[in-house]
Amino acid sequence: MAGSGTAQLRSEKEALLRVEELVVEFPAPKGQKVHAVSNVSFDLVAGETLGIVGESGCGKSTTGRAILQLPRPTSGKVLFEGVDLTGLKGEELRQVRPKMQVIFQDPISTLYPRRTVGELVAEPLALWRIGTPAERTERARQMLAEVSLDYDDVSWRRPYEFSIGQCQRISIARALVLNPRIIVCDEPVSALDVSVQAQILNLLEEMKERYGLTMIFISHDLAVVKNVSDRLMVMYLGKTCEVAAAESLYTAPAHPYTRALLMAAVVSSRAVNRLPGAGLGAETEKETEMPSPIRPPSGCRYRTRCPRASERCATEEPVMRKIGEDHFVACHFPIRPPITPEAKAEGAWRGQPDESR
Amino acid sequence: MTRGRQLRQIEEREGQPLLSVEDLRTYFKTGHGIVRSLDGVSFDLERGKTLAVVGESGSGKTVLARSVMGLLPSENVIRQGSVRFGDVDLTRATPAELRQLWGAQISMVFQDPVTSLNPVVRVGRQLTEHLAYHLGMNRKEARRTALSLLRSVGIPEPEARLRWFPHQLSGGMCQRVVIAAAIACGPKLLLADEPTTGLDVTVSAQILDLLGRLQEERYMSVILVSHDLGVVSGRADEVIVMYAGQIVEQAPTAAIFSDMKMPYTEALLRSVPRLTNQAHTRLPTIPGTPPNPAALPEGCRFAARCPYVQPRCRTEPPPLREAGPRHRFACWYPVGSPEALQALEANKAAGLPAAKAAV
Amino acid sequence: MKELYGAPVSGPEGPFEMAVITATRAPSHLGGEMVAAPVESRPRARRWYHGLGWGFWLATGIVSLWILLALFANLLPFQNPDTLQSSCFLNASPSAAHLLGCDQDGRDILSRVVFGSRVSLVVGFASIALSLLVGGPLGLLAGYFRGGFDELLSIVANVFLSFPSLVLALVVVAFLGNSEFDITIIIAIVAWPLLFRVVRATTIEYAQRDYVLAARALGATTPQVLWRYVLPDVVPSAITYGLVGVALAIVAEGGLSFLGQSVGPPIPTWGNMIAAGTESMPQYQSLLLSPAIAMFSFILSINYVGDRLRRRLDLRSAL
Ligand SMILES: Nc1ncnc2c1ncn2[C@@H]1O[C@H](COP(=O)(O)OP(=O)(O)O)[C@@H](O)[C@H]1O
Ligand code: SF4
Ligand code: SF4
Ligand SMILES: [Mg+2]
Repeated sequence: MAGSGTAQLRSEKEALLRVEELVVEFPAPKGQKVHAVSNVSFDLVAGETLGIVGESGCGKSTTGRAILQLPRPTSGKVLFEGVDLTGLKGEELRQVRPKMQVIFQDPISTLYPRRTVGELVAEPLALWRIGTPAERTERARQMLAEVSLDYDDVSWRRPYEFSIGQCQRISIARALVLNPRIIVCDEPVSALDVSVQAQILNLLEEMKERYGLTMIFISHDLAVVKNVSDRLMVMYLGKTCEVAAAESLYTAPAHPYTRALLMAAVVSSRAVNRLPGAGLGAETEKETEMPSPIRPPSGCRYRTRCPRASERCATEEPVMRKIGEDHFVACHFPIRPPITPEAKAEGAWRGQPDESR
Repeated sequence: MTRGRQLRQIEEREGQPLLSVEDLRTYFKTGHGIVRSLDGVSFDLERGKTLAVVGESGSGKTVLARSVMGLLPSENVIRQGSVRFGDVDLTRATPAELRQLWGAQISMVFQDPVTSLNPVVRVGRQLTEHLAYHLGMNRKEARRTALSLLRSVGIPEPEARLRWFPHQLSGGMCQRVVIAAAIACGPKLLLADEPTTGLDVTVSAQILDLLGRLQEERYMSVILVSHDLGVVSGRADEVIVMYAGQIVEQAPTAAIFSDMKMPYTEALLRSVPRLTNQAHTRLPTIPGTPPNPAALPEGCRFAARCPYVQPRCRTEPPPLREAGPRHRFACWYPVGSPEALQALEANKAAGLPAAKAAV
Repeated sequence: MKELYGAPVSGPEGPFEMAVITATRAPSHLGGEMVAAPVESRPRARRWYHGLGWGFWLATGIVSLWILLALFANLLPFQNPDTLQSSCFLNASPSAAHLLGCDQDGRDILSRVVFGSRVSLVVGFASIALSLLVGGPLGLLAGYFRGGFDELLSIVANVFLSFPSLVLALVVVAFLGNSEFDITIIIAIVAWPLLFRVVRATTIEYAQRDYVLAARALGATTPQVLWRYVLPDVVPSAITYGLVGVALAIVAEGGLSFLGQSVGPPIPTWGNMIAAGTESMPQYQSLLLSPAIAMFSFILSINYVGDRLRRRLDLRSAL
């Protein structure tokens, strides 16, 4: 995949958050660099949920953290309410922090084990010296009630006394106590059982509605992301493959990698979703391994696995381009959208011939 | 050929299942009292079939797999019932007998592939040493077999990978090596405990395809343990749904998804997010948490969370009943029956939270 | 079908060791799943002082006893350690009046051992406290901020550590002198890089925990992060290492005394008493054994206390 380019960005005025050409590199042994995120651009309109999907190690979490400047990106811009966060110094940046919160995959390790739950939820207020201790307790009680936990039951216990699902509720309460505008959810349900996952997903949706949140939802599970997102961004090895409205990405994936992800997801949920058997088609991925982000392939980074790769893919990096209404792809040979409505209903990505090759 | 320990070959009996588990119970004595992790589980598995075991974490899936295998801690455990594997009762086998069966006739693939391999020994040696010792192969033979094993589990450039250490392999590759090791001696039964949890979707699909292919090629029976219904859907012949240490439903895979009888199975399936859902869909949920295994309720163990629950459920535990060919379930008010509909309406009217959440 | 299982099936087979290897891990794996009981039944964490064992409390008792003796030696009915006692014969064996006997100058050995503990203990505790005061904050900042600051400090610490410590100490003695204060400074110079390294390593470990990231995302200032989330774990570990350090510092002071480079006679220290004891005749064992046993009992006890606490903390953080 993978490409650079900014065609997918909307007008600067519309966007609450606009990330341009984000690059994050980490030092690796022998003076090499881990190219964790390379030239990723996207934006978020207020009230929208952007889903970021991709396999582990593709740079989803790093992207989410770079937005929060934890750590600061190597280059690129992160415009929040029109202000470039990468240019802000310590205290200026700190003033913005309450507006952007994060929920992590492993809630138990993000809750400080020495504190009680009551302290943990009230703590953000204490850090900002908001209200009296009594007022903070009152607010913590409110927030815990919002996530269906009873203050008197839970406030005196410590995080490790709770199940992961309950800990995730506590971290949601804690993240919302400062009234943020944007929440970055980094695989918030990946460690949970399906039944608990459904509870937490519903809770996040409810909170989003009630507090008018704008959300970035990171997950490796396409079905989960699709359930909560308005727009989806697919990432591979630090690059963006495809950005589209959730529905059109699902009905007409254009990028070969998106299709591979969808096929895997559909096969595994075929019976659950009672879909017709997925004809896996002739195009399956070539190799199984993601190359190392230390020495990513030239040109399109997906070419080592891509069934459509040609010479051009090795030399020329594909750039994001528009291929439909709110549908952008970075690929030289994208899968064509289906022609007939039946084909569309069946799912065009199940391996139909492509005239563009 | 002489160095290898003599292998105990099991005899399969005509017309009998390969594995037959009867009323298996595994209790742990803990500080909180007796924890009934597995409470009267019975099932059969035929040669060449795949049986999936699904349930939430803590429902007893892993304990079931390990009890079948005989891999339980020696202290503070009570195991009752029988596990007949061919002509051997594994619950009566001595540790020495078990060791002869493990790996050769029954093997197991664990959830975390990285910790299942010895981190300081090269992949090649982990495979060849054991082949050489246990199958009495010489070095060349062992190497050739190891290579063909790696190739058959789909590892590219197996010659090079033989020299690698486990940490140099990705999680998916590690799991392939573990599978290669598990099938090296041609077991008749493979237990896979969450073999793809923690792996990526595309990798997980590949690993499961691999297991399916190997099973067909080698005519193995497989018990596939997973918390993910999606994982088992396309791959198992039969599915067992476990709740609080018991089988609550067992059915051919298609029937579990289209004709489930147990309210828990229904609720579990409903709570899976679907690819076809619109954005911001609210998912049906199961309120509450599973019961404490040290203090189980008297009647149906799902009663506290069940949308159909009636007074009878709280006092009388429902027995496993037949619903069709190879389809069993444990419920007084099976999904789809008129009594169940009545019960649900009554509960909704009474404002039971579980009934409301189920819509 | 059965012929198709694949090559390995033919021939006499043995069990594959892998299954057996993993089998030995079964109990701990199982533990995880089996006690995944609902919240109500989880036990509360034990307090830090539970289950340390009687050895720990005995050692703590010995350490406390010595500290109390050193603090209140003046108030307790001990004879003057520096002057000849009229009731004391030279090199007298233990008796009712002089429980440990008298030395070659007719002084009471018991009171000299008690008063001698003062120098050892003061030097031991003060030098480690000083090292912690210097190495602790530096280690905390280096471990938290990393980068060039950390690299520079680590190089400095390594330079200090690369000198043989005894040689370093002897050189500094030559410059400074050998009063109690000087010896404290000298041991601190040798010891601070060790404590710096311990604190730095602990800080690095705790500073990369997810909850620290979460706190920073909440807008906690650096002092708030350090004070609320990092120090509560770093301080106990620094203190336990410090206790072990005290034992080492006392040994170091003893070593310097032995070489005649520490606080000298007539002020009694365990070190110079041992040095004097080795020169005396073998039949007057009390002269050598008394200070040696005193020093040994203290060092062993404080070392044990520090070590037990350190292990307890490690276990707790693994929780
Ligand atoms: N602190 C770090 N130092 C070095 N490499 C890192 C660091 N954090 C992440 N990486 C690397 O960056 C890449 C992207 O990682 P990540 O953003 O965590 O992916 P994802 O969230 O999609 O799983 C991976 O190759 C990962 O190993
Ligand atoms: S076709 Fe070429 S550009 Fe498109 S994804 Fe494949 S390798 Fe990349
Ligand atoms: S209807 Fe009754 S018996 Fe059936 S699952 Fe619900 S509570 Fe159990
Ligand atoms: Mg991640």
